[in-house]
Amino acid sequence: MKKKLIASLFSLALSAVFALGCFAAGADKVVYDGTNLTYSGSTQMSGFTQMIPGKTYTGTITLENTGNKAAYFYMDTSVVSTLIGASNAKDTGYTVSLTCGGNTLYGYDPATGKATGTLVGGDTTTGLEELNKQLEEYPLVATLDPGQTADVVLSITPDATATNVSYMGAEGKIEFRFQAADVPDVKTVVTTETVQGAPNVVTQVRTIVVSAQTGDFNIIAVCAVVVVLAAIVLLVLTKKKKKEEASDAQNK
Amino acid sequence: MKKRVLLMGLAAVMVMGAVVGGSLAAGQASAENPVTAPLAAATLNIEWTGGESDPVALTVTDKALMPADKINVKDGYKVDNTGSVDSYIRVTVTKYWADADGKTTDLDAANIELGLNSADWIKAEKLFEGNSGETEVYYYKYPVPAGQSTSELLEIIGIPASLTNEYAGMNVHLEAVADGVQFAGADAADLNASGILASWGVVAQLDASGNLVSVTE
Repeated sequence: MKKKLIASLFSLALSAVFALGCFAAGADKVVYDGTNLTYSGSTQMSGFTQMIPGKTYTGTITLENTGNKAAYFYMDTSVVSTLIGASNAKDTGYTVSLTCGGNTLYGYDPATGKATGTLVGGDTTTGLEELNKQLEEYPLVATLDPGQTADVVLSITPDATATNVSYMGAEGKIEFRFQAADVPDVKTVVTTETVQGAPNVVTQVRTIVVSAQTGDFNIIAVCAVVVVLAAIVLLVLTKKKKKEEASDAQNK
Repeated sequence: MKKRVLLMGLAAVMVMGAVVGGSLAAGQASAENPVTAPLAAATLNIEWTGGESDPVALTVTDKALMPADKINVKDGYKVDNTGSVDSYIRVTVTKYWADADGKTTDLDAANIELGLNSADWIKAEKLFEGNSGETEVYYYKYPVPAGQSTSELLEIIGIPASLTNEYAGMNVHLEAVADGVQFAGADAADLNASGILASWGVVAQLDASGNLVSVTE
């Protein structure tokens, strides 16, 4: 008998991508204690090895607040490299979803109301790296009370037809960076002022509002408002004083 | 005096507002290093067990191979899964008669009867068009885990009792090609069937474990 060399094929599913049972990775933890942000366990998210076309793979990171106050968690997702196939091929597609504590950060399907995933990449693109253009930097992903946790889950499905034999053994990488901060207290300040010897109650209510819904750490604008208010009051009082002095001078 | 105190207080508020606003960045905590998620695609690769072997011709003579003979096969096509992903495997065997010089003849290939290991392999229910009698396709029933092998495909080679004298001195030649399709897991029946259809052009019936039950061309 004569034997010929074997041909190997990295085959594909012909029809639409199927969302299947997933490989769920063990959860690594990002822990905020009110002062520092550290990791518990590995800093490597597993679950995306031996990927084959059409099959869904997931990885999980757990956020945990061990501090004494409620805390905001912010996360930046960056695709360092998509899967790169033979001849530097990148342009396959991926169905991607990113959720945190049940909230969909990316990949929401309004038709189903679920995080079924959004197609990223495809022909003439840079594959998974296209995601970098769609995700904002450091969005607020969770607000956790003391002791509370939330799972960040990334799901990737390589396209069943475009991920061909040239992608066999291909490698890529995604990075997640984190920031956290205590949720500021909401304060109400009441002041009383007597003017010109007669009881004259002036009530000022100042509410410190943090614009953290957009994940913006910059609340310098809030402080600027406080400074401006104080400046206005200072101006008013100064003018009154000058008026009084002028009135006194006239009376004399 | 009271107004002076109030004015000083307001000035202090202004200063503090600027100082606190400027120092807010210090209240944020950042992790020093990122969490990384490495991505890696699987590798599908299969090889003949033991590598290529020298061709063996079975000659029809009154001493080696006679009509109605059935010869037990040694090294009857065994395939190793040397990739990183479990795989379905099939072997396509082309059979033909050749003369003493190795030249292919037009003698009927259907007179070469292949007895397969039917416990582990199934035969396609229909031959490819244009190759009737010459080409037979066999599918290993079970997804082969990475690092493991199939069982041997062929057990017997036989020739019918009705073989005529024109076959005298002719040799039975077999040539085989093997290929694979990745196995996505027992819970991915639709994906497995679609992959087999896309790569091999056949409709596969799978059981709950992902094993091939039947294959239809």
